[in-house]
Amino acid sequence: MTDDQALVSRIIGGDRQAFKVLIKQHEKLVAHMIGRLVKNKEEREELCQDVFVKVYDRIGEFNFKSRLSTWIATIAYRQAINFMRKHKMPLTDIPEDDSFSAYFVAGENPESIVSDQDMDGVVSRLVDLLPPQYKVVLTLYHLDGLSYPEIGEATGMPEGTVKNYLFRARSILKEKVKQYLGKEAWP
Amino acid sequence: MAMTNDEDLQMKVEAGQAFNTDQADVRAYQQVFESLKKEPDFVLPSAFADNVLKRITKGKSSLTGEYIWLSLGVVIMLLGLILAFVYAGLKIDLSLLKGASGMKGIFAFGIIFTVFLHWLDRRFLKHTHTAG
Repeated sequence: MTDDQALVSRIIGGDRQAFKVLIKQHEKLVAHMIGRLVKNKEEREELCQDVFVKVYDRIGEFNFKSRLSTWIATIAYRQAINFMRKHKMPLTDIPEDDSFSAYFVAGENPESIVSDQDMDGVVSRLVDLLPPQYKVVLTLYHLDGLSYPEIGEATGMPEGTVKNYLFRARSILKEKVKQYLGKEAWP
Repeated sequence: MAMTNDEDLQMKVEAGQAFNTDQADVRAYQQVFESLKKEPDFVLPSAFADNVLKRITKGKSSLTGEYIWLSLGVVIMLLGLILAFVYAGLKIDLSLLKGASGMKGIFAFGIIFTVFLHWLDRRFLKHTHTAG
């Protein structure tokens, strides 16, 4: 029996401490996803709680075909997307061609980014400006260490799309950072 | 499918195989990969797990409470109805329904109109409320 199976069995058996362990193990994953997609500070923690309440309610449906973290990421992603739809936040499709990348790279950087001295902060703010789909794949891949198929499963995107979004998002960020580093070198 | 230079560069930087830091693209990619691994500002409070457990416990107990009150209400209502019939000596008279049997059209209109109002309510009023 895997660790996930043992933990889930204990939770189904009514062990609250086991669920607390599950929360501790996955709260960063959920916070990364919600924190990246939802900018309303007051709503973030409540949304993270909603995710774990859903996990608790549906834990009996988990079929062990994927890792527990992937299943929880799926619930967190859907929760965030539902929240965004409810609050009329933009969730438009990204064009297949490079028009978005060109538009984004050519756009002026906001003052908050230009004046930021910390490079990590600059990249983080740039990520905030990207479409939600890009933010999600970047976060799940780089922060949470999910593989392409796992990201595909969590978001419902085909594996090829995940790879494509990841490549394009990093490429856009690289161009922006290049502009920034260029200005830093030649003030 | 052929890999572009940029894709190849991303793979090399990720694998730590791109060493030419004089190249602007390499430097920029290294910065991007490094920054993407940094923890974001949003961190959950230390009591987060306890807060979730409290919410689950509270939700369950309030739901149980609601079921108890609902059941109690139904039982009291039925008891009251039976007592009313027994003490007041009431008898059920269905002659009113016989009289109403000739007005099927009005009843049908009433049902359709009510369903239509509910549809309008769901379609416009509730939607407007949640969106705001």
